[in-house]
Amino acid sequence: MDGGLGDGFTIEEFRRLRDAIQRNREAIEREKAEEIARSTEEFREESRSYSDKANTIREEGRQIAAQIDETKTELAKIEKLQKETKLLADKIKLSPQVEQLTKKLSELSQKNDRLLKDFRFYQKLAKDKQEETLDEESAAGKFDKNHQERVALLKAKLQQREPRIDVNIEVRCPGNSPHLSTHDSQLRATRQGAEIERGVFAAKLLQELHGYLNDARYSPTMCRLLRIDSLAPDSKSLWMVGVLLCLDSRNEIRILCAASGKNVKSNSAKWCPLVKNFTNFCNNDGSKTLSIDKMQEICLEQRLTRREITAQQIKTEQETIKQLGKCAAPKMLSQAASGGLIPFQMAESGFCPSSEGSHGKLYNSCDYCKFGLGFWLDGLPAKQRTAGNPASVIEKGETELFPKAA
Amino acid sequence: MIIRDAQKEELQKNAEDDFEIDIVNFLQSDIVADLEPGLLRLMVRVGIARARSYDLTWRYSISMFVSLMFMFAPNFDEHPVINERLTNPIAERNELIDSVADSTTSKEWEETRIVYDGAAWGEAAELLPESWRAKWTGA
Repeated sequence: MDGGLGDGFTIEEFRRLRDAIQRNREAIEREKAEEIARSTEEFREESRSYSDKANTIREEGRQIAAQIDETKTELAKIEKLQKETKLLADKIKLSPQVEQLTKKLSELSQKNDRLLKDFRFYQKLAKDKQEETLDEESAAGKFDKNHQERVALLKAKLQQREPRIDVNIEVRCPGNSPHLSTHDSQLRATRQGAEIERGVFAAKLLQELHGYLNDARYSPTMCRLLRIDSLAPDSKSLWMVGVLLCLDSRNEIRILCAASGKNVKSNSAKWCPLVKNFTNFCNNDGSKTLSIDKMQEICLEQRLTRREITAQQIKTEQETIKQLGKCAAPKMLSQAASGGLIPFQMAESGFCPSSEGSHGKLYNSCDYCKFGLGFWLDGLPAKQRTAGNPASVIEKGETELFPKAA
Repeated sequence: MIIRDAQKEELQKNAEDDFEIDIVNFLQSDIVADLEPGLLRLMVRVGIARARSYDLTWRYSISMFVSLMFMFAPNFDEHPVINERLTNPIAERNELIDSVADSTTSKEWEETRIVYDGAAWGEAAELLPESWRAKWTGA
Protein backbone atom coordinates (compact mmCIF):
# COMPACT_ATOMS: atom_id res chain seq x y z
CA MET A 1 0.00 0.00 0.00
CA ASP A 2 1.10 3.40 -0.94
CA GLY A 3 2.11 5.18 2.09
CA GLY A 4 0.96 2.08 3.68
CA LEU A 5 -0.68 3.19 6.76
CA GLY A 6 -4.01 1.50 6.41
CA ASP A 7 -7.14 3.54 7.04
CA GLY A 8 -5.28 6.02 9.31
CA PHE A 9 -4.77 9.76 8.82
CA THR A 10 -3.02 10.71 5.91
CA ILE A 11 -0.02 12.91 6.39
CA GLU A 12 -1.99 15.56 4.93
CA GLU A 13 -4.70 14.77 7.23
CA PHE A 14 -2.27 14.55 10.04
CA ARG A 15 -0.65 17.79 9.23
CA ARG A 16 -3.96 19.27 9.09
CA LEU A 17 -4.80 17.60 12.37
CA ARG A 18 -1.50 18.70 13.87
CA ASP A 19 -2.04 22.09 12.58
CA ALA A 20 -5.47 21.99 13.95
CA ILE A 21 -4.19 20.75 17.32
CA GLN A 22 -1.43 23.26 17.18
CA ARG A 23 -3.96 25.89 16.44
CA ASN A 24 -6.13 24.50 19.12
CA ARG A 25 -3.18 24.56 21.56
CA GLU A 26 -2.32 27.96 20.51
CA ALA A 27 -5.90 28.96 20.91
CA ILE A 28 -6.03 27.40 24.34
CA GLU A 29 -2.74 28.98 25.27
CA ARG A 30 -3.96 32.22 23.86
CA GLU A 31 -7.12 31.80 25.80
CA LYS A 32 -5.12 30.94 28.86
CA ALA A 33 -2.87 33.87 28.30
CA GLU A 34 -5.86 36.00 27.74
CA GLU A 35 -7.47 34.59 30.85
CA ILE A 36 -4.28 35.07 32.80
CA ALA A 37 -4.03 38.52 31.42
CA ARG A 38 -7.63 39.08 32.27
CA SER A 39 -7.14 37.55 35.70
CA THR A 40 -4.01 39.57 36.11
CA GLU A 41 -5.91 42.60 35.09
CA GLU A 42 -8.73 41.66 37.46
CA PHE A 43 -6.23 40.95 40.19
CA ARG A 44 -4.57 44.22 39.49
CA GLU A 45 -7.96 45.83 39.56
CA GLU A 46 -8.78 44.02 42.78
CA SER A 47 -5.42 44.95 44.13
CA ARG A 48 -6.04 48.52 43.21
CA SER A 49 -9.42 48.41 44.92
CA TYR A 50 -7.81 46.81 47.97
CA SER A 51 -5.24 49.47 47.83
CA ASP A 52 -7.95 52.08 47.68
CA LYS A 53 -9.76 50.38 50.52
CA ALA A 54 -6.54 50.24 52.44
CA ASN A 55 -6.09 53.90 51.78
CA THR A 56 -9.64 54.54 52.91
CA ILE A 57 -9.12 52.43 55.99
CA ARG A 58 -5.86 54.13 56.63
CA GLU A 59 -7.64 57.45 56.31
CA GLU A 60 -10.37 56.23 58.65
CA GLY A 61 -7.65 54.99 60.92
CA ARG A 62 -6.10 58.40 60.88
CA GLN A 63 -9.48 59.95 61.64
CA ILE A 64 -10.11 57.47 64.44
CA ALA A 65 -6.66 58.17 65.74
CA ALA A 66 -7.48 61.85 65.63
CA GLN A 67 -10.77 61.13 67.42
CA ILE A 68 -8.91 59.09 69.98
CA ASP A 69 -6.63 62.00 70.53
CA GLU A 70 -9.58 64.32 70.85
CA THR A 71 -11.35 61.91 73.18
CA LYS A 72 -8.22 61.63 75.24
CA THR A 73 -8.10 65.39 75.46
CA GLU A 74 -11.78 65.49 76.39
CA LEU A 75 -11.23 62.76 78.93
CA ALA A 76 -8.37 64.67 80.37
CA LYS A 77 -10.59 67.71 80.58
CA ILE A 78 -13.37 65.66 82.16
CA GLU A 79 -10.95 64.21 84.65
CA LYS A 80 -9.80 67.68 85.41
CA LEU A 81 -13.40 68.82 85.79
CA GLN A 82 -14.11 65.80 87.94
CA LYS A 83 -11.29 66.80 90.18
CA GLU A 84 -12.55 70.35 90.33
CA THR A 85 -16.13 69.15 90.91
CA LYS A 86 -14.96 66.98 93.71
CA LEU A 87 -13.32 69.96 95.27
CA LEU A 88 -16.55 71.93 94.86
CA ALA A 89 -18.55 69.03 96.29
CA ASP A 90 -16.30 69.07 99.29
CA LYS A 91 -16.86 72.77 99.57
CA ILE A 92 -20.61 72.22 99.31
CA LYS A 93 -20.38 69.70 102.07
CA LEU A 94 -18.92 72.49 104.14
CA SER A 95 -21.87 74.85 103.56
CA PRO A 96 -24.15 73.44 106.34
CA GLN A 97 -21.31 74.09 108.71
CA VAL A 98 -21.06 77.63 107.43
CA GLU A 99 -24.83 77.99 107.83
CA GLN A 100 -24.67 76.67 111.36
CA LEU A 101 -21.85 79.01 112.17
CA THR A 102 -23.76 81.98 110.69
CA LYS A 103 -26.80 81.04 112.72
CA LYS A 104 -24.69 80.70 115.81
CA LEU A 105 -23.08 84.04 115.10
CA SER A 106 -26.49 85.67 114.75
CA GLU A 107 -27.66 84.08 118.00
CA LEU A 108 -24.53 85.15 119.78
CA SER A 109 -24.91 88.64 118.35
CA GLN A 110 -28.49 88.81 119.60
CA LYS A 111 -27.40 87.47 122.96
CA ASN A 112 -24.62 90.02 123.02
CA ASP A 113 -27.08 92.85 122.27
CA ARG A 114 -29.35 91.61 124.98
CA LEU A 115 -26.50 91.31 127.46
CA LEU A 116 -25.37 94.79 126.52
CA LYS A 117 -28.89 96.11 127.14
CA ASP A 118 -29.03 94.22 130.44
CA PHE A 119 -25.63 95.58 131.37
CA ARG A 120 -26.73 99.14 130.62
CA PHE A 121 -29.91 98.60 132.59
CA TYR A 122 -28.09 97.29 135.65
CA GLN A 123 -25.42 99.96 135.29
CA LYS A 124 -28.11 102.63 135.32
CA LEU A 125 -29.89 100.81 138.14
CA ALA A 126 -26.69 100.79 140.18
CA LYS A 127 -26.09 104.48 139.52
CA ASP A 128 -29.68 105.50 140.23
CA LYS A 129 -29.85 103.29 143.28
CA GLN A 130 -26.72 104.95 144.62
CA GLU A 131 -28.21 108.36 144.08
CA GLU A 132 -31.46 107.25 145.67
CA THR A 133 -29.66 105.91 148.73
CA LEU A 134 -28.13 109.33 149.20
CA ASP A 135 -31.61 110.78 149.18
CA GLU A 136 -33.17 107.87 151.05
CA GLU A 137 -35.28 109.92 153.36
CA SER A 138 -37.28 111.53 150.62
CA ALA A 139 -37.50 108.34 148.59
CA ALA A 140 -38.66 106.18 151.45
CA GLY A 141 -42.06 107.72 151.90
CA LYS A 142 -42.66 108.28 148.22
CA PHE A 143 -43.41 104.78 146.99
CA ASP A 144 -45.28 101.85 148.25
CA LYS A 145 -42.91 98.91 147.96
CA ASN A 146 -45.60 96.22 147.84
CA HIS A 147 -45.75 96.39 144.08
CA GLN A 148 -46.73 92.78 143.46
CA GLU A 149 -49.99 93.29 145.29
CA ARG A 150 -50.71 96.47 143.33
CA VAL A 151 -50.11 94.66 140.06
CA ALA A 152 -52.40 91.79 141.08
CA LEU A 153 -55.11 94.33 141.89
CA LEU A 154 -54.60 96.07 138.56
CA LYS A 155 -54.82 92.75 136.74
CA ALA A 156 -58.07 91.85 138.50
CA LYS A 157 -59.60 95.22 137.61
CA LEU A 158 -58.57 95.06 133.98
CA GLN A 159 -59.72 91.48 133.63
CA GLN A 160 -63.18 92.59 134.65
CA ARG A 161 -63.10 95.66 132.47
CA GLU A 162 -61.37 94.66 129.25
CA PRO A 163 -62.17 91.62 127.10
CA ARG A 164 -59.47 89.40 125.71
CA ILE A 165 -60.24 90.36 122.15
CA ASP A 166 -58.40 92.36 119.53
CA VAL A 167 -58.75 96.13 119.54
CA ASN A 168 -58.60 96.28 115.80
CA ILE A 169 -61.43 93.93 114.93
CA GLU A 170 -63.07 95.25 111.79
CA VAL A 171 -66.49 96.26 112.93
CA ARG A 172 -68.88 97.61 110.37
CA CYS A 173 -72.14 99.00 111.51
CA PRO A 174 -74.58 101.46 110.05
CA GLY A 175 -73.12 104.92 109.89
CA ASN A 176 -69.58 103.52 109.99
CA SER A 177 -69.78 103.32 113.73
CA PRO A 178 -69.71 100.27 115.95
CA HIS A 179 -72.17 102.03 118.19
CA LEU A 180 -75.83 102.49 117.66
CA SER A 181 -76.14 104.36 120.86
CA THR A 182 -73.95 105.54 123.68
CA HIS A 183 -76.72 106.37 126.04
CA ASP A 184 -75.31 106.38 129.56
CA SER A 185 -77.69 103.75 130.89
CA GLN A 186 -76.83 101.45 128.01
CA LEU A 187 -73.13 101.96 128.51
CA ARG A 188 -73.51 101.15 132.18
CA ALA A 189 -75.41 98.03 131.27
CA THR A 190 -72.76 97.15 128.74
CA ARG A 191 -70.08 97.45 131.36
CA GLN A 192 -72.09 95.31 133.74
CA GLY A 193 -72.29 92.72 131.00
CA ALA A 194 -68.70 91.71 131.79
CA GLU A 195 -66.82 91.32 128.53
CA ILE A 196 -69.19 93.15 126.26
CA GLU A 197 -67.55 95.88 124.25
CA ARG A 198 -69.58 98.18 122.09
CA GLY A 199 -69.91 96.76 118.58
CA VAL A 200 -67.08 94.31 119.04
CA PHE A 201 -69.20 91.88 121.01
CA ALA A 202 -71.90 91.82 118.34
CA ALA A 203 -69.23 91.17 115.72
CA LYS A 204 -67.79 88.33 117.78
CA LEU A 205 -71.22 86.76 118.21
CA LEU A 206 -71.82 87.12 114.53
CA GLN A 207 -68.59 85.33 113.73
CA GLU A 208 -69.71 82.43 115.91
CA LEU A 209 -73.15 82.38 114.35
CA HIS A 210 -71.53 82.39 110.96
CA GLY A 211 -69.59 79.25 111.84
CA TYR A 212 -72.74 77.51 113.06
CA LEU A 213 -74.63 78.44 109.89
CA ASN A 214 -71.80 76.94 107.90
CA ASP A 215 -72.25 73.64 109.72
CA ALA A 216 -76.03 73.88 109.51
CA ARG A 217 -75.86 73.59 105.75
CA TYR A 218 -75.06 69.90 106.22
CA SER A 219 -76.57 69.15 109.59
CA PRO A 220 -80.32 69.02 110.35
CA THR A 221 -79.39 68.80 114.04
CA MET A 222 -77.51 72.07 113.74
CA CYS A 223 -80.54 73.63 112.05
CA ARG A 224 -82.74 72.40 114.88
CA LEU A 225 -80.34 73.85 117.45
CA LEU A 226 -80.27 77.17 115.63
CA ARG A 227 -84.07 77.06 115.34
CA ILE A 228 -83.96 77.13 111.59
CA ASP A 229 -86.69 75.44 109.57
CA SER A 230 -84.70 75.55 106.38
CA LEU A 231 -81.53 77.13 105.12
CA ALA A 232 -80.85 78.38 101.61
CA PRO A 233 -78.87 75.77 99.68
CA ASP A 234 -75.35 76.55 98.56
CA SER A 235 -75.39 79.17 95.90
CA LYS A 236 -72.99 81.62 94.38
CA SER A 237 -75.06 84.60 95.43
CA LEU A 238 -74.09 86.57 98.50
CA TRP A 239 -76.59 87.10 101.28
CA MET A 240 -76.26 88.80 104.62
CA VAL A 241 -76.62 87.54 108.13
CA GLY A 242 -76.81 89.91 111.08
CA VAL A 243 -76.81 90.05 114.86
CA LEU A 244 -78.43 92.77 116.93
CA LEU A 245 -77.85 93.13 120.65
CA CYS A 246 -80.62 94.78 122.60
CA LEU A 247 -81.52 95.55 126.17
CA ASP A 248 -84.92 94.55 127.44
CA SER A 249 -86.97 96.30 130.11
CA ARG A 250 -85.02 94.47 132.81
CA ASN A 251 -81.75 95.72 131.30
CA GLU A 252 -80.82 92.23 130.19
CA ILE A 253 -79.17 91.59 126.86
CA ARG A 254 -81.19 89.98 124.07
CA ILE A 255 -79.70 88.73 120.81
CA LEU A 256 -81.66 88.92 117.58
CA CYS A 257 -80.55 87.30 114.35
CA ALA A 258 -81.68 87.82 110.79
CA ALA A 259 -80.72 86.93 107.27
CA SER A 260 -81.41 88.96 104.18
CA GLY A 261 -84.19 87.90 101.81
CA LYS A 262 -85.65 84.45 102.43
CA ASN A 263 -82.37 82.65 102.90
CA VAL A 264 -83.17 81.48 106.41
CA LYS A 265 -86.66 80.33 107.19
CA SER A 266 -87.59 80.14 110.83
CA ASN A 267 -90.65 80.46 113.00
CA SER A 268 -88.53 81.34 116.01
CA ALA A 269 -88.60 84.91 117.23
CA LYS A 270 -84.81 84.79 117.37
CA TRP A 271 -84.80 84.95 113.59
CA CYS A 272 -86.50 88.14 112.53
CA PRO A 273 -89.07 87.89 109.74
CA LEU A 274 -89.38 89.98 106.61
CA VAL A 275 -90.51 93.55 107.32
CA LYS A 276 -93.92 94.06 105.79
CA ASN A 277 -94.45 97.48 107.27
CA PHE A 278 -92.79 99.76 109.72
CA THR A 279 -95.69 100.11 112.14
CA ASN A 280 -93.44 99.65 115.11
CA PHE A 281 -91.34 102.67 114.45
CA CYS A 282 -92.99 105.98 114.04
CA ASN A 283 -95.40 107.89 111.97
CA ASN A 284 -95.24 111.39 110.76
CA ASP A 285 -98.99 111.97 110.62
CA GLY A 286 -99.85 110.74 114.10
CA SER A 287 -101.30 107.40 113.07
CA LYS A 288 -99.76 104.15 114.17
CA THR A 289 -99.36 102.57 110.78
CA LEU A 290 -96.52 103.21 108.43
CA SER A 291 -96.61 101.27 105.20
CA ILE A 292 -93.55 100.32 103.24
CA ASP A 293 -94.62 102.80 100.57
CA LYS A 294 -94.89 105.56 103.14
CA MET A 295 -91.53 104.64 104.59
CA GLN A 296 -89.94 104.75 101.16
CA GLU A 297 -91.55 108.13 100.57
CA ILE A 298 -90.16 109.48 103.84
CA CYS A 299 -86.71 108.19 103.05
CA LEU A 300 -86.73 109.88 99.69
CA GLU A 301 -87.96 113.11 101.25
CA GLN A 302 -85.20 112.99 103.82
CA ARG A 303 -82.53 112.35 101.23
CA LEU A 304 -83.87 115.17 99.13
CA THR A 305 -83.94 117.53 102.11
CA ARG A 306 -80.39 116.62 103.02
CA ARG A 307 -79.46 117.19 99.37
CA GLU A 308 -78.11 113.66 99.11
CA ILE A 309 -80.11 113.30 95.92
CA THR A 310 -81.51 115.75 93.39
CA ALA A 311 -85.11 115.96 92.16
CA GLN A 312 -83.99 114.46 88.86
CA GLN A 313 -82.67 111.38 90.61
CA ILE A 314 -85.91 110.58 92.38
CA LYS A 315 -87.19 108.25 89.70
CA THR A 316 -84.08 106.09 89.82
CA GLU A 317 -84.10 106.14 93.59
CA GLN A 318 -87.73 105.04 93.70
CA GLU A 319 -86.75 101.83 91.92
CA THR A 320 -83.80 101.22 94.20
CA ILE A 321 -85.66 101.85 97.40
CA LYS A 322 -88.17 99.07 96.68
CA GLN A 323 -85.65 96.67 98.23
CA LEU A 324 -86.06 98.39 101.59
CA GLY A 325 -86.94 96.02 104.39
CA LYS A 326 -85.48 92.88 102.87
CA CYS A 327 -82.07 93.19 104.54
CA ALA A 328 -81.04 91.84 107.94
CA ALA A 329 -80.73 95.26 109.62
CA PRO A 330 -84.34 96.49 109.17
CA LYS A 331 -85.66 93.04 110.09
CA MET A 332 -83.79 93.07 113.38
CA LEU A 333 -84.50 96.72 114.19
CA SER A 334 -88.18 96.24 113.42
CA GLN A 335 -88.34 93.15 115.61
CA ALA A 336 -86.54 95.01 118.40
CA ALA A 337 -88.94 97.93 118.17
CA SER A 338 -91.97 95.66 118.26
CA GLY A 339 -90.61 93.86 121.32
CA GLY A 340 -89.81 97.12 123.13
CA LEU A 341 -86.10 96.30 123.06
CA ILE A 342 -83.37 98.93 122.98
CA PRO A 343 -80.71 98.11 120.40
CA PHE A 344 -77.12 98.95 121.21
CA GLN A 345 -74.89 96.87 118.98
CA MET A 346 -75.23 95.48 115.51
CA ALA A 347 -73.05 93.72 112.97
CA GLU A 348 -73.73 92.22 109.56
CA SER A 349 -71.60 89.83 107.54
CA GLY A 350 -71.75 88.20 104.14
CA PHE A 351 -72.65 84.52 103.66
CA CYS A 352 -71.39 82.93 100.47
CA PRO A 353 -69.35 79.74 100.98
CA SER A 354 -68.25 79.74 97.34
CA SER A 355 -66.58 83.14 97.69
CA GLU A 356 -63.77 83.24 100.22
CA GLY A 357 -63.45 87.01 99.94
CA SER A 358 -67.04 87.77 100.90
CA HIS A 359 -67.85 84.83 103.16
CA GLY A 360 -67.75 85.99 106.75
CA LYS A 361 -66.67 89.52 105.90
CA LEU A 362 -68.23 92.24 107.99
CA TYR A 363 -70.15 94.71 105.87
CA ASN A 364 -71.65 98.15 106.16
CA SER A 365 -75.35 98.36 105.66
CA CYS A 366 -76.38 98.32 102.04
CA ASP A 367 -77.37 101.34 100.00
CA TYR A 368 -81.08 100.65 100.52
CA CYS A 369 -80.76 100.44 104.28
CA LYS A 370 -78.76 103.61 104.49
CA PHE A 371 -81.92 105.37 103.36
CA GLY A 372 -83.85 104.05 106.31
CA LEU A 373 -81.31 103.73 109.08
CA GLY A 374 -81.34 107.38 109.98
CA PHE A 375 -85.04 107.11 110.50
CA TRP A 376 -84.98 103.77 112.29
CA LEU A 377 -82.31 104.92 114.69
CA ASP A 378 -82.97 108.60 115.12
CA GLY A 379 -86.68 108.74 114.50
CA LEU A 380 -88.38 111.42 112.50
CA PRO A 381 -87.49 115.10 112.82
CA ALA A 382 -88.80 116.36 116.16
CA LYS A 383 -91.43 118.64 114.61
CA GLN A 384 -93.14 115.80 112.75
CA ARG A 385 -92.92 113.44 115.67
CA THR A 386 -94.19 115.76 118.40
CA ALA A 387 -97.10 116.66 116.20
CA GLY A 388 -98.18 113.02 116.36
CA ASN A 389 -97.15 112.47 119.92
CA PRO A 390 -97.61 115.59 122.06
CA ALA A 391 -96.83 113.71 125.25
CA SER A 392 -93.23 113.33 124.18
CA VAL A 393 -91.04 116.24 125.25
CA ILE A 394 -87.97 116.63 123.10
CA GLU A 395 -85.45 119.22 124.05
CA LYS A 396 -83.26 121.12 121.63
CA GLY A 397 -80.30 119.06 120.47
CA GLU A 398 -82.05 115.77 121.16
CA THR A 399 -83.71 113.19 118.99
CA GLU A 400 -86.00 110.45 120.14
CA LEU A 401 -85.01 106.93 119.23
CA PHE A 402 -87.80 104.39 118.70
CA PRO A 403 -90.52 106.49 120.34
CA LYS A 404 -93.23 104.47 121.98
CA ALA A 405 -96.81 104.85 120.83
CA ALA A 406 -98.83 107.32 122.85
CA MET B 1 -85.33 106.74 124.47
CA ILE B 2 -83.47 110.00 123.94
CA ILE B 3 -80.21 110.36 122.10
CA ARG B 4 -78.29 113.61 122.51
CA ASP B 5 -76.28 115.45 119.86
CA ALA B 6 -73.11 114.97 121.87
CA GLN B 7 -73.81 111.28 121.89
CA LYS B 8 -74.41 111.30 118.17
CA GLU B 9 -70.97 112.79 117.70
CA GLU B 10 -69.64 110.03 119.86
CA LEU B 11 -71.16 107.55 117.44
CA GLN B 12 -68.77 108.71 114.76
CA LYS B 13 -65.60 107.90 116.64
CA ASN B 14 -63.83 104.76 115.64
CA ALA B 15 -62.84 101.83 117.77
CA GLU B 16 -59.24 102.97 118.17
CA ASP B 17 -60.26 106.35 119.57
CA ASP B 18 -62.68 104.70 121.93
CA PHE B 19 -60.01 102.36 123.13
CA GLU B 20 -57.67 105.24 123.89
CA ILE B 21 -60.42 107.04 125.76
CA ASP B 22 -61.31 103.93 127.73
CA ILE B 23 -57.70 103.58 128.87
CA VAL B 24 -57.50 107.28 129.76
CA ASN B 25 -60.68 106.97 131.82
CA PHE B 26 -59.38 103.92 133.59
CA LEU B 27 -56.02 105.53 134.35
CA GLN B 28 -57.67 108.68 135.64
CA SER B 29 -59.92 106.75 137.96
CA ASP B 30 -57.36 104.26 139.20
CA ILE B 31 -53.74 105.27 138.61
CA VAL B 32 -53.06 108.82 137.42
CA ALA B 33 -54.95 111.72 138.90
CA ASP B 34 -52.65 114.65 138.29
CA LEU B 35 -52.44 114.84 134.49
CA GLU B 36 -54.50 116.81 132.04
CA PRO B 37 -56.65 114.40 129.88
CA GLY B 38 -55.18 115.60 126.55
CA LEU B 39 -51.64 114.94 127.70
CA LEU B 40 -52.67 111.68 129.28
CA ARG B 41 -54.17 110.57 125.98
CA LEU B 42 -50.94 111.44 124.16
CA MET B 43 -49.03 109.30 126.65
CA VAL B 44 -51.56 106.50 126.27
CA ARG B 45 -51.03 106.59 122.52
CA VAL B 46 -47.27 106.22 123.05
CA GLY B 47 -47.95 103.38 125.45
CA ILE B 48 -50.25 101.56 123.03
CA ALA B 49 -47.60 101.78 120.31
CA ARG B 50 -44.99 100.41 122.71
CA ALA B 51 -47.31 97.55 123.71
CA ARG B 52 -47.93 96.73 120.07
CA SER B 53 -44.19 96.48 119.43
CA TYR B 54 -44.45 93.26 121.49
CA ASP B 55 -47.28 92.08 119.20
CA LEU B 56 -49.90 92.63 121.88
CA THR B 57 -53.31 93.03 120.25
CA TRP B 58 -55.95 92.38 122.89
CA ARG B 59 -57.69 95.23 124.65
CA TYR B 60 -56.83 93.55 127.93
CA SER B 61 -53.13 92.97 127.25
CA ILE B 62 -52.55 96.45 125.82
CA SER B 63 -54.45 98.12 128.68
CA MET B 64 -52.38 96.13 131.17
CA PHE B 65 -49.11 97.09 129.47
CA VAL B 66 -50.00 100.78 129.35
CA SER B 67 -51.19 100.76 132.97
CA LEU B 68 -47.88 99.22 134.06
CA MET B 69 -46.04 101.97 132.18
CA PHE B 70 -47.91 104.52 134.29
CA MET B 71 -47.71 102.56 137.49
CA PHE B 72 -43.95 101.95 137.39
CA ALA B 73 -41.97 103.29 134.44
CA PRO B 74 -42.61 103.81 130.73
CA ASN B 75 -39.54 101.69 130.07
CA PHE B 76 -40.46 98.91 132.52
CA ASP B 77 -40.18 96.47 129.60
CA GLU B 78 -36.42 97.13 129.42
CA HIS B 79 -35.86 95.34 132.71
CA PRO B 80 -33.93 92.21 131.64
CA VAL B 81 -36.13 89.79 133.56
CA ILE B 82 -39.39 91.41 132.42
CA ASN B 83 -38.12 91.71 128.87
CA GLU B 84 -37.36 88.01 128.83
CA ARG B 85 -40.90 87.26 129.96
CA LEU B 86 -42.38 89.59 127.35
CA THR B 87 -40.41 88.07 124.51
CA ASN B 88 -40.82 84.41 125.39
CA PRO B 89 -41.09 82.83 121.94
CA ILE B 90 -43.06 79.80 123.12
CA ALA B 91 -46.10 81.42 124.73
CA GLU B 92 -49.00 83.23 123.04
CA ARG B 93 -48.00 86.90 122.74
CA ASN B 94 -51.06 88.35 124.46
CA GLU B 95 -50.82 85.90 127.36
CA LEU B 96 -47.28 87.05 128.15
CA ILE B 97 -48.50 90.13 129.97
CA ASP B 98 -50.13 87.82 132.53
CA SER B 99 -46.80 86.11 133.04
CA VAL B 100 -45.23 89.54 133.64
CA ALA B 101 -47.96 90.48 136.11
CA ASP B 102 -47.86 87.16 137.97
CA SER B 103 -44.13 86.48 138.07
CA THR B 104 -42.46 89.85 138.50
CA THR B 105 -41.44 90.44 142.07
CA SER B 106 -41.86 93.68 144.00
CA LYS B 107 -38.09 94.05 143.95
CA GLU B 108 -38.04 93.87 140.16
CA TRP B 109 -40.86 96.38 139.90
CA GLU B 110 -38.97 98.65 142.22
CA GLU B 111 -35.92 98.31 139.97
CA THR B 112 -37.94 99.40 136.94
CA ARG B 113 -39.10 102.42 138.90
CA ILE B 114 -35.53 103.32 139.79
CA VAL B 115 -34.34 103.30 136.17
CA TYR B 116 -37.35 105.37 135.08
CA ASP B 117 -36.61 106.82 131.65
CA GLY B 118 -38.96 109.70 130.85
CA ALA B 119 -37.75 109.83 127.25
CA ALA B 120 -39.83 106.71 126.68
CA TRP B 121 -42.92 108.94 126.77
CA GLY B 122 -41.76 110.31 123.42
CA GLU B 123 -43.17 113.66 122.43
CA ALA B 124 -45.24 113.79 125.60
CA ALA B 125 -42.12 113.81 127.79
CA GLU B 126 -41.47 117.50 127.13
CA LEU B 127 -45.02 118.42 128.09
CA LEU B 128 -45.06 116.63 131.43
CA PRO B 129 -45.27 118.75 134.60
CA GLU B 130 -42.26 119.13 136.88
CA SER B 131 -43.65 116.65 139.42
CA TRP B 132 -43.47 113.98 136.72
CA ARG B 133 -40.16 115.07 135.28
CA ALA B 134 -38.64 114.71 138.72
CA LYS B 135 -39.17 110.98 138.41
CA TRP B 136 -36.25 110.68 136.03
CA THR B 137 -34.33 113.92 136.37
CA GLY B 138 -34.05 113.46 140.10
CA ALA B 139 -34.73 117.13 140.53
